[in-house]
Amino acid sequence: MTKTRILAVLCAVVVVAIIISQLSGSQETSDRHDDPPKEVVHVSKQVEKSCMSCHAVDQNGKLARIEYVRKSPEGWSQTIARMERIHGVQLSAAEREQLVADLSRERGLAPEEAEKVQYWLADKPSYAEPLPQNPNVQSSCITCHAAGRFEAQRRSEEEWKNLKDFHLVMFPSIYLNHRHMDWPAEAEAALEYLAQMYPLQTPEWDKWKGRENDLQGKWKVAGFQGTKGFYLGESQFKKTESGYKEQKQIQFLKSKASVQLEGEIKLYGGFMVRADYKAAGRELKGTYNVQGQGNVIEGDWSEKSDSGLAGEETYYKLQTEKPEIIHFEPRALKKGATNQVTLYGMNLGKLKASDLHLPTGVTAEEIDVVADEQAQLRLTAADSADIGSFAIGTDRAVVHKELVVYDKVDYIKIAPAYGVARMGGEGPMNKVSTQFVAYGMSKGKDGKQGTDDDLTLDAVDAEWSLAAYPEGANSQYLQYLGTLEQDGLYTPKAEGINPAREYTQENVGSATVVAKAAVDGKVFSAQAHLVSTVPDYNNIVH
Amino acid sequence: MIKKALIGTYLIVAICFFLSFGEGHPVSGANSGYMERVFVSGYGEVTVVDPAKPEVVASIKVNGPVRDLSFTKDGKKALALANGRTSLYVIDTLGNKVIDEIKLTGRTDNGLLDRRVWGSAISPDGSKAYAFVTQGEKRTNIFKVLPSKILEIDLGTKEVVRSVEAPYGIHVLQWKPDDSNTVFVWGYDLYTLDVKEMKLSLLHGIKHPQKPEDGIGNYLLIWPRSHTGFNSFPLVKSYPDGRVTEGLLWFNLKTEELKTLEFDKDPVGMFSAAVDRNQQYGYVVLNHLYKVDMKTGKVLKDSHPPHGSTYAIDLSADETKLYLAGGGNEFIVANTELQVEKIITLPTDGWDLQVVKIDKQQ
Repeated sequence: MTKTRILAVLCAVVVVAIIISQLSGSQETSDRHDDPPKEVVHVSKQVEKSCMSCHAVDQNGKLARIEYVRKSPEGWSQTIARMERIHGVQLSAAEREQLVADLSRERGLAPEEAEKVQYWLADKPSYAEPLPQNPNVQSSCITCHAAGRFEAQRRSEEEWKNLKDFHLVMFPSIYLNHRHMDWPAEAEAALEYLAQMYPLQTPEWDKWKGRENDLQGKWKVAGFQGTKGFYLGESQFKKTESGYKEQKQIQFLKSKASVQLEGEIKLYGGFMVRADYKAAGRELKGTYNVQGQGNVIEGDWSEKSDSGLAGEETYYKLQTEKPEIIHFEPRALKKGATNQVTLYGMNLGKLKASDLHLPTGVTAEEIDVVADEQAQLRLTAADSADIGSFAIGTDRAVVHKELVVYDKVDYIKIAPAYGVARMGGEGPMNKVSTQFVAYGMSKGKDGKQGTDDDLTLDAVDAEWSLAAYPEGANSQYLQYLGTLEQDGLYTPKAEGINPAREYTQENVGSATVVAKAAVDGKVFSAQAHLVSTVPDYNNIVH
Repeated sequence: MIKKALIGTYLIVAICFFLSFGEGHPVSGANSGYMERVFVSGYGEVTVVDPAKPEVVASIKVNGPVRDLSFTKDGKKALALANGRTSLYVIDTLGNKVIDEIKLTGRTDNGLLDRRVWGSAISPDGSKAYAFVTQGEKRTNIFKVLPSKILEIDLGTKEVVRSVEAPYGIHVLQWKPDDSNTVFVWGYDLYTLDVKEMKLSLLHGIKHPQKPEDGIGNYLLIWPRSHTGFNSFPLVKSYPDGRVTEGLLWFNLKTEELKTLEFDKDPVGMFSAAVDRNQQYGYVVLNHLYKVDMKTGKVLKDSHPPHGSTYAIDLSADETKLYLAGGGNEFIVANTELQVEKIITLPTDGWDLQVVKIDKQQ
């Protein structure tokens, strides 16, 4: 074959290939024309309507800034409030709510990410946040913020780094407040750390995004409120157009007082439950997360008029398959003694002592079933019993709390160890009370107080009092602080100057909280610190 | 003998006459060459007090809390920083009125230019203002920080004429007396601004001293002083061995000599300080009110302001009285033994006070 012929054949092959490809291409094009063009929605229609005029689609096809950040509903609410306050965004209440829902769903947190900052999302009173390990974060962020605020966010590296300029432009006095350090340089280092720790893309979010729990149905409830103790109850969620309606009845075990609550429930990001309750003229807010397979909801509630009146609460989805113990008391067994333990839960009629995995040295007698939700169990802890905290559930019976075995009560402690109460009620801010609780404590296996193996036993009744701080100071000023009731509830006074006090000071001050309790025939005493201070006005601005 | 007695009497009379018109004499006399006024930076106003009576003689309205006050050499014009640190108000101190407002915010090619002023000073002749600003660009959906600068503003045209980059931390600009070319720039450290060259130079390291073992100074100058010839303020020092002390820094505005002392008491937190021109006594205030021996640092008297925290203190023009204000809505006159003599109520809470001698001559 001559070169000319070879070239001719090659050209023919190329021409045929081009024709075929064009024909098939036009076929594809024709097919595409048959389908309606796929509409690209950036986060949601509401987000596009309210945000796109400033946050246009960027070169990556994403909404500038917005699609490089993930936040909790509370975090998005703060952001939207700032856009309204500073940048003139006009929103109706319904639009604002829709934005929070859409952003929490599309640019929210995964359950594992939210769980770590539940205390911040719930605004848990007098909560001692663990100090972030990074020294640059400590010096440049923690001086103003709770770590929960930024640990409840996920951002691209660039978005974390944008925070430096944001702070310097928005709050230029920041370098004056931090003049003991080089804030811009340390903030840069802190943001590099946060970008590594809290990246935009995480396996948890990839796994969770798009999923949603269904809360409908009946639930058992167990909760604890400091100063009032444990309570149990039942709840039912019914779906509505905007979320759920909840009916809840609870009863405190100690006082037998009952409370009926009606709640408007929103479910954000498929698992973050936010409740607005009404209960006999009181209003409460609930901040919960659905856990695991969707059969447990855990979280916190507080009174809207006093966020210091608060409790921890867990819901357990009602089931009929096997015994499930949601609460028992006493929770702590003393070695060498027999205890009558009351079990609370569901399907307890089916429970056998052998269904429980009791620790070595602890034996159970037969169970006395009071009702399907309550049973009595005599447990004896031998002198030789292991001490510690033990999970006692098995595949035949679910037990949600651990059983503690101890040898003796060695001391008592007060929680919170550092209480912060805030005056309020006269202006725009409400009071924040502090609920102090005294717990029996055992030194644990090592016999040393204050180590990790110390065992927290049940709450104990105590006599409560306030003492001057620091020790030896004139206690006259205590008259200007609030009141500490005999159930451990400290209630601050209203804010504003007090003409009766020197320098017309407000009714602020620090004090030592003292609890005295008789346990097992011995009298113990413990101290905690109380700061009764001014309202947290910052929270109504930011 | 008679002649000697006459000469002696004449000399005594002459000395008395001279003293009566000197700077050390109380200024309420009609023959003094200046009128003493105290300008209190209030909320929404500059409050003018005649301290001799004492009484409020004028309220000069501005927007927001007043953060800075500076005066021309003759005291007839003032510059007030207010309006969220975004506006400079030029004030006629004889007429007690605002005669101009300079807004320093503006636009860039990319968005809004956000400028906040953290220290300002009017030139001795009243023709220019100098302002340290932090700057940011507010773009459509993002903030970008721009370099902080000292701006030179022509008060006639209200235009920024020149500028020089300046480090974070600056909080007070202060003219060197009888030197129209030098501005002291108080930041973490002390700089001078050569106005002719618009050049900033380090004069004294305070946060960054040459020898850290001399103590690292930490202060935020909000209450500058000048009329006794010294700027003075409380200074917290920390040492490499962990010690933290509280004392005074005073700076001779003419010789540029900077000195510090440490109180013989544990730190309590103080805001402002005044030093007499003989450098004999210092007076310091916040929750405590100290009279301090300037040679030893010994706190000679430890008192308290009458009604709680008080931010600002200065000596009267003749240095016979102490004036206190700020932190509340009071103007307090005390003697130099810290005994309160008079208290008047001001229209608003205050921040600082500035004692000014206004030249009576037209």
